[in-house]
Amino acid sequence: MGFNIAMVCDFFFPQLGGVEFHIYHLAQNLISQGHSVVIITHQYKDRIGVRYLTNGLKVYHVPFLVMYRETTFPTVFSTFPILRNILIREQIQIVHSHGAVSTLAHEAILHANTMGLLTVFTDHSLYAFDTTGSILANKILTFSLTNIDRVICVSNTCKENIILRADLLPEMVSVIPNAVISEDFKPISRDIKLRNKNKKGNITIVIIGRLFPNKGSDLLTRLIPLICSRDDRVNFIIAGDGPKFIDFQQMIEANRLEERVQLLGAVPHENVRDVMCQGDIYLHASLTEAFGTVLVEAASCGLLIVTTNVGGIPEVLPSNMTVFAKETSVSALVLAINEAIGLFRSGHCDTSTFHEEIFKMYRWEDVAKRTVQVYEDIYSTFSMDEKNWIYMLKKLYKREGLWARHLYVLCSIINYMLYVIFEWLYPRSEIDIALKWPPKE
Amino acid sequence: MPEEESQLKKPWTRLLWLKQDYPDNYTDPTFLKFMENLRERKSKPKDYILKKDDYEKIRLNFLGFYHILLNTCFIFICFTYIYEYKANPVPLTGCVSFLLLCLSISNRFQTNELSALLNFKSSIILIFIMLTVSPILKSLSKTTASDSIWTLSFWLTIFYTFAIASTSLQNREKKTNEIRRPSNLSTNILLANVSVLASRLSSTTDVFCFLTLCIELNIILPSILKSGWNFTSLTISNLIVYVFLNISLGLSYTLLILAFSLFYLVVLPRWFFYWRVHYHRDDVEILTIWDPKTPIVDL
Repeated sequence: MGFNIAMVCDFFFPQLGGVEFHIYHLAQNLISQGHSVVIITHQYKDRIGVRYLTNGLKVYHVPFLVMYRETTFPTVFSTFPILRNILIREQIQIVHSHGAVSTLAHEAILHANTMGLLTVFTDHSLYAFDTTGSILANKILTFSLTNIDRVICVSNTCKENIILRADLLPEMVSVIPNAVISEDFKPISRDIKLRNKNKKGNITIVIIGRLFPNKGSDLLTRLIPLICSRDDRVNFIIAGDGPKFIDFQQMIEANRLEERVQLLGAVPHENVRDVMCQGDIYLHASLTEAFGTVLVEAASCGLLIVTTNVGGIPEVLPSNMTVFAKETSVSALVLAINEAIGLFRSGHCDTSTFHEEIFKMYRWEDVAKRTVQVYEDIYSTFSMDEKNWIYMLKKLYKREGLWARHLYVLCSIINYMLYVIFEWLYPRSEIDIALKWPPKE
Repeated sequence: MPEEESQLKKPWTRLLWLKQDYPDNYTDPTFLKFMENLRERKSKPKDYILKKDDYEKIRLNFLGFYHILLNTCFIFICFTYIYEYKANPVPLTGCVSFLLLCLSISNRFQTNELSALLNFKSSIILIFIMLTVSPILKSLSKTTASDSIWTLSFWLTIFYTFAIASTSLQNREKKTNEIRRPSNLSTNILLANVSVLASRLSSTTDVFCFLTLCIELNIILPSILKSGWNFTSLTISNLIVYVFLNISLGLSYTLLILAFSLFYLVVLPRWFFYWRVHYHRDDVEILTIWDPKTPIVDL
């Protein structure tokens, strides 16, 4: 018997990004393993109401007010009526929320706990502890994760981060990495690559990513002219857009690198592979990273990875695929790039096996299987006592922070009262049960 | 046998790409140790590093902000003096300017003579500019209703206080020996505030005197008194402000404001200190492992 699962997140298609792809691929693989999955997100422009994606993946685009960067306006309670309706209508057993900055995800956990459903949360990023924004986010996270059944993180670093942020028990948190679709990131054959190059020994370095300060744009704009001036057989391709785009343009113009550095701007996700395949080395200068899916994608395309050693990156790829910079400095990155170029030119680096290796390491089927394992664990050990309202209130009251914990308890009590009112106003018996998409034979 | 099995089992490594014979919720043992240390650190009675010195620093910072507030009050004292009491501002301006001149001459023996001369030159230029712009300022917002002017001035004053507080208190933190100079932002807000208020005055002379007084008291005087808030200047400022409050608002209001000031100066620093000791997380420094790294541009 498959589970009825609801994935809840503010970020989903038509927006594209790491979290969105993760939800989509996970849902698709869960469906193919015989589970029923619906996705609940907010409306995107005229995309409102129920939509179906491939394999009958049902998406509820609920009309909520969007506040900032596609996050819904936090109201704690206002999403309850419609979420309750959807969860009952779809006979949901497990609510799986994604993303620590998604308000909808947090509210869904609160409501699902009130309704006595199993809850799982996946976190995709790292956060600090001492900035105003992160203190606030951590308080909210502590609140919604107090009564969670299991948390999933994309790397060990991410896991440790969330344990400390939300004060969780370590065994409550599982690590399940992201994956890539291997067929979408195939390398092109070596002959074609060599034919495309006019000179042997030429090396192309690819940089793909949003051009933001936390992605190391300042380091990149300094080191590209340095590398170009020291070695005239090295070229760069940069894909991506962001606030630092203009810095890259200026760097190219000031150093007259128009012929050596291609600045492509934003590239659609389906073309990322084609861009990657034009290069030999993938350069990643990020200053913080929970997982770094792009590294896996680049390695799958047969590129040697040069990267900073931050966050979860050291866990992601084996040492024969990566050259690490010792610190997040220009000099360390230049050294690492030179080492990688040396490896290439001396012929010590064989990237032809990368694609096969990555295919064995990171597959969405595995991710889905491991996620189902988590669902089964919590489903088999579940007892109704854990979703007892008094029990949950007690747990909230044991949290740190005098003001915070009283607020937590107050919010929960109001939520329970609302639940009782909804059960009376809109009884379960009057909510139609949705038909399930017929599973593939 | 489970024991044998565990001996055969390969030790766990912190790698995601490797398929390992451990459950997904297995936790890195080094991290468990780290958590243990953190917990111990929290449970131990904190060896308060925050002691007398820190309290002194907190108290001085509170006092510094209070001094800034007093200085800002001078704008309104000057304004009320000219606008409400219709007093002739020329003698007062003359006195204050003379006093400032004496102070700067006495400072000249301590500081570089050239810079003093340059300061003198720029002051002359400034005075001429002010003479030129006074009639313009006077007529600039003449048609605006007085209520709008008061509201505008209120907000500008709040911005000014925070702008000047953020720069001058930062300078104190850095313990710089250079003369405390207000930032361009705060000077501009001050001038905006003064020019908004100036439109309510009746003659060009009043506007000129008001402008001069405000600049002298808020910009020049604090930069001459290098240390900022020594005992004498603080006492004089307090005396002037409270005497003026008493005359203009009456004794009851003055006492109320005095009570607020005392609460601010005596109770709040202690409260803040208490908060730092009891509520401030002192493990934030260790938790920077997860912060974004800073880019090092070394080439």
